Amino acid sequence: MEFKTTKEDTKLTVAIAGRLDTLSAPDLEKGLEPELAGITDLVLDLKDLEYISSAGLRVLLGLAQVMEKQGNMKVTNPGDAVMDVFSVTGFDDILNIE
Amino acid sequence: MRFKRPAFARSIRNKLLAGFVLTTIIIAGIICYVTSTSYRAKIIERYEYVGMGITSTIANRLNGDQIMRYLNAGEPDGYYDIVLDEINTTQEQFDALYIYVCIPEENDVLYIWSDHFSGEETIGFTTGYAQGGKEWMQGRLYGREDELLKFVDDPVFGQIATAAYPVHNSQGRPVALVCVDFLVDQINTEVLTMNLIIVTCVFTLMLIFIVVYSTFANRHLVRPIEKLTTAAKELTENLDKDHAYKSDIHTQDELEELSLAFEKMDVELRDYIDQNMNITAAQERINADLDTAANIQESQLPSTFPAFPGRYDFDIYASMTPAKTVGGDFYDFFLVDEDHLALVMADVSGKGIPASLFMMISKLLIQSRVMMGESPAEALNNTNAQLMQNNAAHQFVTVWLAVIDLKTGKGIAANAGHEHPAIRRANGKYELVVYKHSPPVATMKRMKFKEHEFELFPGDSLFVYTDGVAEATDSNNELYGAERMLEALNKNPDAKPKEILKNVMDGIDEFVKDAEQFDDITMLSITYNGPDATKPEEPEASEDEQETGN
Repeated sequence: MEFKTTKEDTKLTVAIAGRLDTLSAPDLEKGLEPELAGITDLVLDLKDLEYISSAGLRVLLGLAQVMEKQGNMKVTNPGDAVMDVFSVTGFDDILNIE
Repeated sequence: MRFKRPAFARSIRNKLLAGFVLTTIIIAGIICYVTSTSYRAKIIERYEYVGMGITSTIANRLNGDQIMRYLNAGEPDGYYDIVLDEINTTQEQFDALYIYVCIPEENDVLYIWSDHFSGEETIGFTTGYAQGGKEWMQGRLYGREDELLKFVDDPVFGQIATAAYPVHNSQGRPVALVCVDFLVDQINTEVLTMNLIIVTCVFTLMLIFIVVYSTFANRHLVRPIEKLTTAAKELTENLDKDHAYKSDIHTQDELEELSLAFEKMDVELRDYIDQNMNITAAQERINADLDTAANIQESQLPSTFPAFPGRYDFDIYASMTPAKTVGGDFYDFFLVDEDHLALVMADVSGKGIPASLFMMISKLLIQSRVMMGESPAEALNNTNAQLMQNNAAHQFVTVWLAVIDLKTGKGIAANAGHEHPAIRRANGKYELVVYKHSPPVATMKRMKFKEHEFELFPGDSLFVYTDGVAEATDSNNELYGAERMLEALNKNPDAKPKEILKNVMDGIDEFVKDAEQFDDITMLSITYNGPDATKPEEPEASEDEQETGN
């Protein structure tokens, strides 16, 4: 898993690529934590995300709960495999997916 | 244990001694060379002095005009005999080889006086020049030669040194040479003798030094090093004993410093090991606690099979294989009343102790809600509300929850973000039941979970599982997947629940091979036999059971 952040004022875009699983999810969680202060718009670009496990979903849920207090969170471009996981787990009801 | 020195090793003392002997030999050589050279120079100087003294004394007292007359007449007289006596006396006095008065002519040396004339040899006797003698003698005669001594190798006598001084006539012209020959082989002998004395002295001193030095080196170098070597070898063996190295080297130099450093190191090493043992002990306590936690967690899951002895209307089997000591997956099944069976399959996000704590709470909440008579959706709504009150770690749990009326086979299920269950109608094949799920429990406050009805007929089977099954990964990061899971289920779809679980587990093991298990693998299988089912005659044959059920 690799991720790249782009910041414009209070908008943070995170492009996540590879496999977001038990092993890599904590890296994303720790990596994004310090970046979130003062952010009102968080965009997760999942174009290159191949796989997401429940540990990855947990990080997304945590981000969604943080952003609920300070602004908006958007998930963009999930692939078919990732979208399947979202719909099976009902996460498509929780997340703002575009 | 006595430290055995490897065969190739040499004592540091011997090495130092070898170096010392070599140095001594070089120094002795230099001393010999320098003293020989200067001694030889001194001796030559002495011969020059004596030679010049003898020859000049005689030459100055000789009458040059008389010599010319002896040369012409050839007859000795009284004066001649007096001079010859003087020459002989001087020869004996100074231990010279020869003393003679001669005239160096064109081709020969012509003698006037000589202390060694024999038989008919007398005035006018001639001999040839020795090698290089002519130039030197003529040079001395005419005062153009500065070399005071001439060395000649004589085949009979050995090395001879000759000194010469000219005799002048009354006109002041040089007419003859007074010569003295010394046998100088003794110079070499003397130098050799002196060198022998020097070498003997030096080597005697060296021997004395070696004895003293060896004793010193043994005491202050070799033995301390051996002590340290032994201590170092024994260090690892003595670490578990209360036997720290105590420095007893008192050389007051680097070795004592090393020994003290070693003593300090031993103490620190022991401290470090003690600390390490404490840490290990603490780690072991944590591991023991983890094992206990795993036992408690495992004991929360119904694990006695058959679970309901005496009931033949359904057959159930379940298992959980955690990836770490404690996992976040759980299953549950219990009778709400005589006719209602509740089934739970759930997966808490994350791993380890945090996940297992969340799992325990979730399981208890769901169970107590269902036991209170709430429907699956109501039970999840209330569980969700309670879990959301304090959920700092953003944990959530996917849950598949169903309650089946065992009399009619009708059931109600709610799926909160969990995997699609697999169903197998009697005599058919296992397939996934795909429908839209609610989000997981503990993701949002005030969630309203959906529930749906379903119906089981005698002979039907259900298989529910966590994502550890479908997402088991081989060493190439390839997922096991639902397709392979269905293949394993349909390998023998008539198998009883226990075998169904084994078939799937075998399928996973075969697929992942040696790859490490990352996620908990939890499965539950139930076959509904219908309310009228009786004890099967052949407990091993599941076909009979189903037929009875039908």
